[in-house]
Amino acid sequence: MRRIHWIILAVLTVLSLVGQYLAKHYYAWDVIPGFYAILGFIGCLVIIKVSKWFGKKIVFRDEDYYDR
Amino acid sequence: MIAEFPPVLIFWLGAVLLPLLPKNVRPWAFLAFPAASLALVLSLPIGTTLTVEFLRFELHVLEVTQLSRVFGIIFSLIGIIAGIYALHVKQTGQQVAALLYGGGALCVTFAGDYLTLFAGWEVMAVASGYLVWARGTGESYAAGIRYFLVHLFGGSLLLAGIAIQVVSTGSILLRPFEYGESIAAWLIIAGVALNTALPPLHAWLADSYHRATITGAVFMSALTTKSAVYVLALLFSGWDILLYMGVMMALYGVVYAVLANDIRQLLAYHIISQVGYMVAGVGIGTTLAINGTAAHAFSHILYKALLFMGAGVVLYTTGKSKLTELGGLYKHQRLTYWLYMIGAFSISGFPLFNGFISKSIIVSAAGKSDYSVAVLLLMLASIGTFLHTGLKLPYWTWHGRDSGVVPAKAPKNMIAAMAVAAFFCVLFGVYPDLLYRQLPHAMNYQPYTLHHLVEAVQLLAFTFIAFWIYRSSLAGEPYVALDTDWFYRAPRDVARAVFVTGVNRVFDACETLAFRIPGVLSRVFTHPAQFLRTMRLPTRDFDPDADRGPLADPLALTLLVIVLVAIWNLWW
Repeated sequence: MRRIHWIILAVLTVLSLVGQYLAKHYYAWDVIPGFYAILGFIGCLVIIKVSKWFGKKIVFRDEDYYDR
Repeated sequence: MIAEFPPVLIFWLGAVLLPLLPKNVRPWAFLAFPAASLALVLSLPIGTTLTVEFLRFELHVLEVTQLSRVFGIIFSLIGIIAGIYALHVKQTGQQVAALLYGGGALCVTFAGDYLTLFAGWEVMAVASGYLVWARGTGESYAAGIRYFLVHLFGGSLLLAGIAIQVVSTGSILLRPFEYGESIAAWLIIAGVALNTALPPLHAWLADSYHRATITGAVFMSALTTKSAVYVLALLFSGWDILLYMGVMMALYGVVYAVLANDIRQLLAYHIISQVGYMVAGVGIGTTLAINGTAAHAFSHILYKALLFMGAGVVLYTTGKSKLTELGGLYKHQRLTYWLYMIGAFSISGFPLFNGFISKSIIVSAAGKSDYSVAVLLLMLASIGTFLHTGLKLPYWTWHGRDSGVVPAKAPKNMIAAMAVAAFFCVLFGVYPDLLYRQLPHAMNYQPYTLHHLVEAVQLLAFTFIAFWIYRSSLAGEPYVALDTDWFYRAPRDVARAVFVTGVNRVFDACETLAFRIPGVLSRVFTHPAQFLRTMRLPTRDFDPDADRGPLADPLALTLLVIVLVAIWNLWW
């Protein structure tokens, strides 16, 4: 990731915040500025953490588990 | 007359003709059959019906509706693309199996009655199972057996439902079920749900797709689950339970995709997640939702085939498919990488790619029907989709740490097939109306609204940021993640003891007994007199000189009897 990529991301984020302000609201949560950004970030974290926890605690086995 | 020809027969005719052709033209000749089928499907007018008498039934072997047409188009189209991808494959068995398989999917799609549907269903199961076996490894052999057994079970559920349905209603025609209307409906939906890979009936998919042949997996990713989605949409539209199950599926696939190490298995888990959207669409059941399901199936087949083709190129050129063994391939495989990324952008719902224009219909339909929680959970699944298919897999395969693996050169036809699929992903993304025109219901839907764009940009950008921060924790891990196939794989030793070792013991015992009986009898008859006297096995053979009694006694007895009889006759 070079600096230019981060700048593009930042510009897109700002544009999307402006867009959200202008766009018609469909859902109740559309009034929260940057709601989808928050959902994207938190959701991603939740998926990683929950899945990894689930894997490590419950379902991970050695690769030859079924061959023994 | 030519207009009323079932497309399935073109595929199955191909399966018969192909082995008769010279070996080196077979891969090219293969392409002719899906191409002819595509032309035929496009030319069949809506409402075309063809009936055939069979036993006492009138089979509707061809029924063209707006819904069956859109599935027929994509099944034929993907046959061409996957055929191009397999041009370098010389095994006729695989080509024939692929034609039978594609034909089965079309048979199901255009079936108007249960018997035709079931025939296509079972041909699909057998032909696709062969594509697992054709890989030729011990692992794929075992996975193929499990695949057959599970599909045999699913087929039996379906057949049981069909039998009850046909006997109780007297009709073999397919017609939509009311929610929970009969035991037949529940059996049929269970059989169909198994093929849509609905958890807990899904484990066959994630168990077999990454063990199938490289080209076979492309066909498999397109046909089995989507033909089942078609049947769900046809028969079970509006069944509430499917909405809940669909959303659960969408998230289930995401969780397991985090845990997957094999790249093709990761993609297989993501099929489950994507099919979840379609199942949810069927559950919502409005015309918009059914349109969304059909559109998403259409888009999904294109980009998922593209993704499988990309992963297949990696496996073909490196012989490896585990994230723990891959990394740093980008400098050798720029074109493959970018074509794969077009598939990844599509599945993740980037604007201008075809996933965006189809997934958003289902999410909008959920919103319009006031399923707000479903909307949020489907968005969460979207995040997961981008996270694994668009970030984790490509990052740890083509970037990440350099594994030092130097891939061989990929056959040109594999790359060409990826390019064709990528072209369609972009084409339908840029011109959604090309697809929308084919959908079952008329609709006035605009995917490129400011609201949708804002949603997509924010979700994707911040998913990326979270991934970038935590990317190291998403590297592959050398484990298998247990899934519901554990329930039939772990008790292997018990099952073997009951069904194999136990049965063998009984047979062995019977066999030993069967051989002992003539042995004993032959010993007994060496000297029956001694046996009858002692009730023990004779100690020696019968000896006429020693064992035969004096002749006088029996002679005297005979004489006596004759005299007695004579007297009797004379006297009375």
